Amino acid sequence: MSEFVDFLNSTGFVAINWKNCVMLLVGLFFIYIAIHKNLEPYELLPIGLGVIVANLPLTGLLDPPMINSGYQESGFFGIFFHYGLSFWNILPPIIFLGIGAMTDFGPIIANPKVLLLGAAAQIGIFCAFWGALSTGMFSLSQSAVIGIIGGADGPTTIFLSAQLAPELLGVTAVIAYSYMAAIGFIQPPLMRLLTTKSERKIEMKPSRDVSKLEKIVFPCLTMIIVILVVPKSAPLISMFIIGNLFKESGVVPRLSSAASNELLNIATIFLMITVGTQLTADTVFKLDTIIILLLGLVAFMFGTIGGLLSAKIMNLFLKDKINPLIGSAGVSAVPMAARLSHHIGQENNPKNYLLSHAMGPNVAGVIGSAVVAGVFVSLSKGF
Amino acid sequence: MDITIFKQAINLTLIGVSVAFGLLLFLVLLAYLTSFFSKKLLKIINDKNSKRLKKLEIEALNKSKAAVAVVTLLLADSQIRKES
Repeated sequence: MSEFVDFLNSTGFVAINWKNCVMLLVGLFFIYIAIHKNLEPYELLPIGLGVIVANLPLTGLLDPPMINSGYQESGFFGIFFHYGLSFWNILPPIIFLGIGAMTDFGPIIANPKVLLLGAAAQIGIFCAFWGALSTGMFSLSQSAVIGIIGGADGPTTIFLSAQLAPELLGVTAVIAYSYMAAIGFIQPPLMRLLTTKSERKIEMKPSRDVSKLEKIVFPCLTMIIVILVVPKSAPLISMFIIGNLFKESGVVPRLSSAASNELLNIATIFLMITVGTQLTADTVFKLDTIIILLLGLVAFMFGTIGGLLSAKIMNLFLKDKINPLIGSAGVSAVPMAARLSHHIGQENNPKNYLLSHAMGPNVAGVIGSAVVAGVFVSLSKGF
Repeated sequence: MDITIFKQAINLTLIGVSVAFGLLLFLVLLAYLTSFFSKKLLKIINDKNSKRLKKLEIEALNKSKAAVAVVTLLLADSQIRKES
C-alpha cells in the first residue's frame, strides 16, 4: 500500500497547482490561435506546446546543465535553453541566416530613402526603454530588453534577452511574437488615424530592376560597415547578410535552400519550443509581466507612429510622393507589416501595389533593430 | 531613479538613436553610390564586351571573305582545268 501512496505522490497530479493550470490554458490558447486563426502559426504553435510541457510538474525537463550536474541530471529543454540561448546564444543567429536567405535587398537599392522609415520606426524601442526605466522596477539591462520588443523582431529580442536579462527571455520573446501575430489589430487603427484618405491612395511607381552586381555589392558593404560601427551586432548582421549572399550569388542554390528551409525550420522548432518552456507559472504570475506586456504594446504603437509620421515628413520634401502606409512596415515584423501596408493601401485604392515598396522599410527595420540591439549589448551589459 | 543609471540611460538613448539613424542614413548614401558605380561598371563591361564582339565580328567577316576568295579561286582553277 505504501508503494502505491509513494507512486501517487510521484505523479504530477499531486504537485500541480492552479497557476500551472492557468498556464496550461494559456498554452492551449496559443495553440488555438495558431491553428484556428492562423496567426503566426510557425511561432505560436511550438511556443504553446512548450508552455504546456513546461507547466507539467515534476518532469525535470527544464533543469539546466550545471558544473556539478550528475549523469543525465539535466533536462532536455534546460540543455537547449542553456546552449541554444543563454550560454552560446546560437539559435537567433541561425534564424537570421535563414531570414537573410529569403530577403531581397532590391527594394532598398531601388529606393534607398525608404531606409529612413526603418530608422524612424526604432523610436518605439526607446519609448518602451524609458517607460520601463521610469517604473523603477527594472534595471537598465532589463529596460533595454523590454525596449527591444518594439523592434518587432523575434530573434533580435531573444538574442538581446539572452545576453542582458535571461530571466526575462521567455516573457519578452512571447510578448514580441504575440504582438507580431496581433500586428493586424495594432497597426491598422493607427494607420487610418495618422493618414488621410488621399495619402493612403497615393500610387507609387514600380521599382526599377536592380542588377545582380548591386544585390551582391550593397549587402557586402552594409555588413562590413555596420559591424565595424557596432561590432556587437555582428552575430545577427553577419548571418543575415551571409544568408542573403548565398541567395544572391546564385552559385550555391543548395546552401541557400538549406539556410532558408531545413536550417531555418530546425532552428525555429528548437527556438520556439525552448522559448515556450520559459513561460512557467513562476515567471508569468508577476506584476512585472503585466507591465512588460503594456510596455511592449507601447513600443509597437510608437514604432508604427514613428514610421508613419516620418513618411509624411519625407513627403514634404519629395517630388515623387511615397505612400505613408509603407512607413508602418519599418517596425520589422517581416513580412506581416509589409503585407498589412499593402492591404490597407489596396482597400483605399485597388490599383495600389505597395508590397514591394513596403519591403524596403521592413528590411531596414531588421537592420535597425539589430543595430540598436548591438548598441544595448555594448553599453548596458552589467547595469 | 539613481543618477548614474539616469546618465547611463541618457547616453544609451543618445548613442543608440544617433548610431541607428546615422548608420541607416549612411546606408542610404551607400545604396545610391552602389547603384551609381554598379551602373558605371556594368556600362564599362558592356562597352568592352561590345568592342570585343565587334572585333570578333570583323575577324569573322574577314575570315569569311578570305574563305569566299579561296572558294572562288578554287572554282576558277577547276574551271580552267576543265577548259584546258
